[in-house]
Amino acid sequence: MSLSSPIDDLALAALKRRCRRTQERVYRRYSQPAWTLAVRLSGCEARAWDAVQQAFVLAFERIGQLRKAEQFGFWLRRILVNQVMDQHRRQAAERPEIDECGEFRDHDSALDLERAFAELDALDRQVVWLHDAEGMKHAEIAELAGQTVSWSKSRLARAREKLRNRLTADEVAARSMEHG
Amino acid sequence: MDDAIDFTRMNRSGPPDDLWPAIAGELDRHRKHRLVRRVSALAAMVTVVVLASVFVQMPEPTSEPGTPSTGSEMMSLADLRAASARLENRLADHRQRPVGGLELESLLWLETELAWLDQQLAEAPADPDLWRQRIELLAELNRRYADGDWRREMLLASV
Repeated sequence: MSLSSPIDDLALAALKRRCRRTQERVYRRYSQPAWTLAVRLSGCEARAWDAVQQAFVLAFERIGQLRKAEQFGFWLRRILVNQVMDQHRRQAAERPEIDECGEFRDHDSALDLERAFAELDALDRQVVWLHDAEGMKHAEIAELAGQTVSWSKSRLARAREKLRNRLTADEVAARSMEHG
Repeated sequence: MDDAIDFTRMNRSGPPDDLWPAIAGELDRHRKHRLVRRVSALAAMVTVVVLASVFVQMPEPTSEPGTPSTGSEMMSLADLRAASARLENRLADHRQRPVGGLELESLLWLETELAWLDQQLAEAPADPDLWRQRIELLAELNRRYADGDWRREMLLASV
């Protein structure tokens, strides 16, 4: 299940009637990809919690604005990404140099992609995930970030480069440890 | 897309179990706020409708010259004189009481106006317009004397 999966017209009609059971069913259906997206973009489970909660509340509250049932997943993703980006902007404005959620849950290996991704700057993380994992176009990412397409392209290239460099460095370090 | 990072090998964890209850709680709060807003809007609308209907039912003042329509204008000459006498009796009581300096100047001015009006009435005692003016002036004097008295008592109480 991904955020691009559609819902049917009956579900949309029930959501517009604010049917709680349908809201829960839709939440259960989209919560996993929404959670993954929020955690990856924000780099922090506490922030992901706030973003996902707000995104679902906004989506259910403003469901009247949605015309086509098949657009629900894209619409929810857009709301969620906006929430994460708003969080990031607020945090940058309040405390520009401190990342309260710097500690990303450490998994087994220090050399894995997860760790390298978590160490990326918030904007790099958002652009590379939205483009490479979510398959969003540069125009879409640029619009969400309030930037230009060229900004999105250069940010993506830089983020990929950083990510690859970190992965390579980790690999080299791991090999040298293996060989004593 | 050849350059794309392959993220599929990354762990995909699910949301915490208590996230849905938090969302449902937030939706409930929004629902309550919406209900309160709707009730308030309905109450405001009902108030507007009631006030509008009250104003519509009120008799319109006649615009023909010389035709009495509201308040003292609807009274006969005898009624006007009686109303004037009642107000004058009340004024006589007020005049016995001390008056604060704040009100004195305006009271003196009104008293002078009353004296001038009484001169006019001596010449035209059956003029209803002059009687109406006298009633309004007496009412104003009573109000000023009462206000002055109240303020004086407050000043005394605060000492």
